[in-house]
Amino acid sequence: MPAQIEVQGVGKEYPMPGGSVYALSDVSLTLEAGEFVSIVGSSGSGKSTFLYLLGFMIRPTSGTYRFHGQPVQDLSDVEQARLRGKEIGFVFQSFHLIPQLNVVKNVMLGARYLANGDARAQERTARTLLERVGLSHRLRHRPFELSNGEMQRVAVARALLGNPSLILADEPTGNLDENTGNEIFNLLAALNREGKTVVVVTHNRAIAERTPRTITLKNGRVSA
Amino acid sequence: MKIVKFWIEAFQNLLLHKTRSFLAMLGVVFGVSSVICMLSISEVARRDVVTRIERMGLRNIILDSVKPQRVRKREEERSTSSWTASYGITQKDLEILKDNLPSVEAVLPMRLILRDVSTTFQNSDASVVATTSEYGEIMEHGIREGRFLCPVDEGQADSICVLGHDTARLLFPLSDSIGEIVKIGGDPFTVVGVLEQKGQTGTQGALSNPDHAAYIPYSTALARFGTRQVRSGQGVWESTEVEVNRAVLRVSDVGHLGPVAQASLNLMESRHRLKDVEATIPHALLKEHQLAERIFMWVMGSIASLSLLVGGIGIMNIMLANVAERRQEIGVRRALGATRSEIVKLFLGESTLLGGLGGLLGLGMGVLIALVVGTLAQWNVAFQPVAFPLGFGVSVVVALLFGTLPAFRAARLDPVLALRAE
Repeated sequence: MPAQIEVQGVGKEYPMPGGSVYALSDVSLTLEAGEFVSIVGSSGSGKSTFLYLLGFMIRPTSGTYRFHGQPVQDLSDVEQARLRGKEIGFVFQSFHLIPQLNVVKNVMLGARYLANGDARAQERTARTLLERVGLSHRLRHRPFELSNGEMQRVAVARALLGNPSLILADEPTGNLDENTGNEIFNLLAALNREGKTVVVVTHNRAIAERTPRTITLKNGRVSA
Repeated sequence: MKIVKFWIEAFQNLLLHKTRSFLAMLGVVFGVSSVICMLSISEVARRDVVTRIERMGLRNIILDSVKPQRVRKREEERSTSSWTASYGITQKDLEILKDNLPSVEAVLPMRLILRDVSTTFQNSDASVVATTSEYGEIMEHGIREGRFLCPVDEGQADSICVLGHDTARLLFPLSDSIGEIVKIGGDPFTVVGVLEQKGQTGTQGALSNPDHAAYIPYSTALARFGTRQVRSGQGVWESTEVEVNRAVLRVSDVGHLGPVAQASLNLMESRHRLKDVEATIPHALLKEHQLAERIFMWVMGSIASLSLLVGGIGIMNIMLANVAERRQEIGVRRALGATRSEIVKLFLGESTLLGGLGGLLGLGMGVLIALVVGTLAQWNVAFQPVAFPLGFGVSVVVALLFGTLPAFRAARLDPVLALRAE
């Protein structure tokens, strides 16, 4: 059985007028299904770029990336988008909720891009997920009526709507106080215990130390 | 079901920015409403003009006796001495026209008699028209009650008359007018018929309103009133002699109208020293009107296109602002699995909906304005059915076209950069 993620010699180069900038260089990594990994590194080390590359949001300029054995770079944009909708859930530092939509509608934002398009079933799933993250009393509230912790929990529920196998979280605790950050981390840990692969980008050493595996990036390369 | 969901979502997205969406629609609303308004009001004018021209008979040539320059000058000078003038079409001219122009099927003389029409109780300023029994057929004017003039009346110069619709209603508001006596210039005439209502024709002058007239046999008019009409005042008199005020030539083929009109004018010129006959061809008037109408429609179409163009630019502007404001949403949607084409559809759906709703509002507003203007100006507003699907369709197409740039700009956004946008 192939690993969930196999990255081999991956690089990302941004051509600039003054010369190319290499956000990632020769990164190789294997992640098995069900792993809980943190990626750490200083600002500009390429950790977010790597996370988005893992989520097919950025195409590598060199190297190979296999997802469940399937070479991702060979897929078209549409195929990548479909695979992303099915297999990957994103959680962002700034939550990125739509301010005009209530909590349920925010969770259902990606519903139309999922293969199983039964709206009622999706709404039931959204409510179940919100109950799971402890927000069943906030269903009709809008983001500005929620605390940061609650907003991030809505974002986690949104990431889970399509029942993805991989959760990619970009600084999920970056905008939260310590207690709330711990709550969100515990939520991600619980998802990992249920079998989901979780990759967390963080510059918080304490958070990183709580994950079974930590990958450090430095100047776009995996540091030993 | 999926398509319904798509439009509902687009509508909900527009509702998130109600004021902005409404403002974006305004250009289209005004564009479409002005199209509806202009088309409906011009349709009233068009129908009126066309009907008036058609009432003159599309196979007819109308020759009118006109005052020569010299006579007009004399009238304007208000001469202190009496004078007499003789001009216009004569009965002899009519015979020559009929004998020399084989395409002319019939020639109808019409002479205006300057006499009052009255009953014992009611006066009327109806025109008195001396004509022949062919009037009804050539002018396509049907009889409502009784009968029209017949050849026997002409032969015997009978004192009978046929009343136009309005004249009959004025003189005999409560009773049947057939068999009643009216006085024309003081002489008694028996009413033998009443004509159907016809409405104004496209010509000028006293012969333009056939409903407001009384018709008597041409021979009777000659016997009773002669050909000379005298006006007097302040010790002087003016005498004019016109045998036929109008001659209507019925031509066998519409294609011959132009040449026959020219030939008849040439004949008149050869017989008259002064230029005292003018020709009108209703068919040519109709063609001219149709040409003018086409030009008018092009001008109007251009104005409407310009308004819709402005509306389209308004929609594009608002949609570009939408894309800029919703960069993070675009990034999130891409992260959640949206393809570029789904992002295009999302924004194109919203702009098309803006155009469609603007178009519908514009149709409603256009109808409302046209009805208000119609009521204030006392016009019967006539809506052109084609204007409705056209107005709606064009506004949707304009919105679709102008929504394309913002939609593609949204789809081309780098999702990672979009997510990092502040």
